[in-house]
Amino acid sequence: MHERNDEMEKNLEHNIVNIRSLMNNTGDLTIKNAMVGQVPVSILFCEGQINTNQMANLVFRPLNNIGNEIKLTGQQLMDMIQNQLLIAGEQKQVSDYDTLIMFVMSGFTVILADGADYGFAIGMHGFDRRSVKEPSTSINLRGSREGFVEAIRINMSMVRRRVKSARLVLKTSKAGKVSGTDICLCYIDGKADKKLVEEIEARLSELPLDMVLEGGYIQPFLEEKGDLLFSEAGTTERPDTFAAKLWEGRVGIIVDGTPFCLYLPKLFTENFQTLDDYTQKPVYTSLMRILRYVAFLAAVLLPGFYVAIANFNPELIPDSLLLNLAASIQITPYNLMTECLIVHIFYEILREAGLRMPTDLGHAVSIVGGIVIGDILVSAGLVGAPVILIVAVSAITSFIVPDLYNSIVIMRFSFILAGGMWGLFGITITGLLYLYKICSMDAYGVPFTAPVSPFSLQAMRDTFIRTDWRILSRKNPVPSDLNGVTTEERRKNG
Amino acid sequence: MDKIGWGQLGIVLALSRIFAEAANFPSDDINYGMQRFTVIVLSYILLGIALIPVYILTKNDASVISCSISGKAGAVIMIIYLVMASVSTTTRLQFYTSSTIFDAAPPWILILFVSIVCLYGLFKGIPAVVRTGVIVAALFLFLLMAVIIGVSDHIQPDFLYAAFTDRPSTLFYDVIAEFSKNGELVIFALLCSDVRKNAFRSLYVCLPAALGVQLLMTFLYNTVLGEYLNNTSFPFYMLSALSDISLLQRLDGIDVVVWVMSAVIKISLISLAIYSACTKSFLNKKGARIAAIAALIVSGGASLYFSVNTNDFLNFATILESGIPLITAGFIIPLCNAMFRFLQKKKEERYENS
Repeated sequence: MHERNDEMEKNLEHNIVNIRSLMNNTGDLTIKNAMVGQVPVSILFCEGQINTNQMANLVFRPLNNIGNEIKLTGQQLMDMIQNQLLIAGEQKQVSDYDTLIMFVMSGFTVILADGADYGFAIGMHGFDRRSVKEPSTSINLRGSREGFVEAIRINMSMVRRRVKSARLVLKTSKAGKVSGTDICLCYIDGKADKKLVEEIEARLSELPLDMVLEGGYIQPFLEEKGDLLFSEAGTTERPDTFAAKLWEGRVGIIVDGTPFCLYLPKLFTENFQTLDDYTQKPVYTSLMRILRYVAFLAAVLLPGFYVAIANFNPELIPDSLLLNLAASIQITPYNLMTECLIVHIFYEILREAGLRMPTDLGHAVSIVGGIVIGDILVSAGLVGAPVILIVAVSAITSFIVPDLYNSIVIMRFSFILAGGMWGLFGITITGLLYLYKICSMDAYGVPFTAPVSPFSLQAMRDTFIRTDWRILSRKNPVPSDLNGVTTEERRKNG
Repeated sequence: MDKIGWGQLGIVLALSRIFAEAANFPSDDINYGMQRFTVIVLSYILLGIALIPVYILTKNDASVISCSISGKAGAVIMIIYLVMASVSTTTRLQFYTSSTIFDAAPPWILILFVSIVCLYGLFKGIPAVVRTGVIVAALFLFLLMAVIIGVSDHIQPDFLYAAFTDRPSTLFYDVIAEFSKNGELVIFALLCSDVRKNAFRSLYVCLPAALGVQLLMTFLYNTVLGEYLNNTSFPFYMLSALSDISLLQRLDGIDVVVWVMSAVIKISLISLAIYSACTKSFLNKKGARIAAIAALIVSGGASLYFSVNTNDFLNFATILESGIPLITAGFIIPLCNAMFRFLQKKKEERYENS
């Protein structure tokens, strides 16, 4: 019995038997046998993974043209295929079973000949794939309508089309011991820190996973341990955003089978940036950025703050508003914290249901959730109208920073509980715990809270506000500029 | 452990210093009148004079002032001072919060929660605490600006009058009491080795910033509160209660939030300084962490005791306000360390030359 890493033999029949055995006689392995130059030849491919037209034109036809009139040896035939026939752009020599099986399962066609202890893997992938469409997330007003797709090669080409420079490095490798998923490490030479690239490469090479079906599988291994709320890895479905991040010194990872690509490191302030920020006027963009920060704070703090103030410190609320609030609180049977939690849990259930169920049923959920439950909760006196308003505002604002949605939900619930039980003091203490958590995070040596703390004046031109392109184009700060160490100090430290 | 920048440490120390201004103990009997301008300025001049020899001896390497040359005894004195400062801060915070908007909260809840957050800060390390401190400092500046805008209509320069109405001895005691509130110097002495470079510059940020803000606050107290100032326990709280920025009727709730945050940062810094003192002198990292946790527990326990024994706290505060603990822990020991190091360096240079 042969092992997968064994070298192939010169006997074609033995090779085929071994391959079948090593692939457990899988049903999708197709083997076509023929005689070319009076040499027995086998063509191996996985059914449904190759383009049959291409195979007919680029493999069968050239081999048929050789015919059986002349007598060749297996070695001579393979030399002829390698040197005289232009079969396909991707043509690789394989000499061990492991590599051969990997190529066959990746959509390559492998040609083996009797008398040659190696074969040729020819790339002619032809499996059905989704066409390039506008991404479902990160919708922009201006800019490209292209989004990443599931096929890694297409995604790589989309990045390459945007960065036509030799400095763009695309390194492919495999991840997942069983799945053998293709992944591609991307960075711009001279922009990305070499240590950062080495560190990510090292982590990717040590992945303990058997299956990698999405970038989210490898993401935890690229982040620091214990980061349960925030992520130092960003995801994007947009090739233009991905290219921009590479230019900002990030390292990107494209994973086969998913339209979401990763980039590292990601700082907290990057959650508030969109591609539209760079295509519109700086004044408007700056206003939108500030609004996004306000929206984030509202999404996290508003319900908790409302519960805390209304319960413990109503004197802070303007009198006219306070009277309305008091009237609505009096007619409801539950306390404010419970009301707020009930409505939030309802909302999260509806959101989850809307997300998982078929799109056609989404409208029904909206009607049931928005009109029936919302209206009845208020009219039945179970929940006050101000609470519905507060929850609605915090729900809408949480979608303004979609990358932080998960963190926002967790934080919002904790602030409601803290505010309901201990008022503003609870909000303060919970807020400090989160601040300590965020401020302690480092993304590959760069503080997660940079460039706010540690402060970088240079980076401020694209943080809370966005300055004009004339200023932005002068020098683009890369992550290593934001760790609080000055260029002079870095130079001294080598 | 990651290093921090001198600017960051300076800002956080200034914030910590300003907390002492806001959350004074009601029985401290501070004269917030016009004479306070003189008291603040004189206390900072005194501080500057006291720092000159330390600066001269350490201008190339400020971290020498926290070295273990003075031995375990020096470290123990510094730790005792820091525990006292921590007790004072926690007690003042507890009094401040329960006298303002958290009047219904039992003291043990306030003290316990503050201690838990400080403990978390201790585990997260100095970069986390300092970065958080900078964000809290920014929040404080926003609050200060909002208060200035909120009370701008109430400012009456007529309330300003000539100072020096008190006797010189009263002025002297006030200056010493104000000077003794600069416990941040001990924190600086112990944490400056965690600063990337130019640690002494932290004081260039901290001292002017704290001085400027204190003078501004005193100006607001005098011009807004006027003759009511002497009847006010927490003048800044009163100013924020008077502020109306439309969105919120008054800012006193936000004011307390900011001061609770500042106090937590201060106590976290103290815990980290204790940890630093222990690791530099006589304990390994694990032992130092246990010592810092023990200091937090002692501080919380003592604050709980003082919350019901106010007179005992006043006696305790008198010791701190005498200035002797600060002079010992904040000047004499670091100065001794610096001088020893200076002499040692000279001796080594002489030996190398010969």
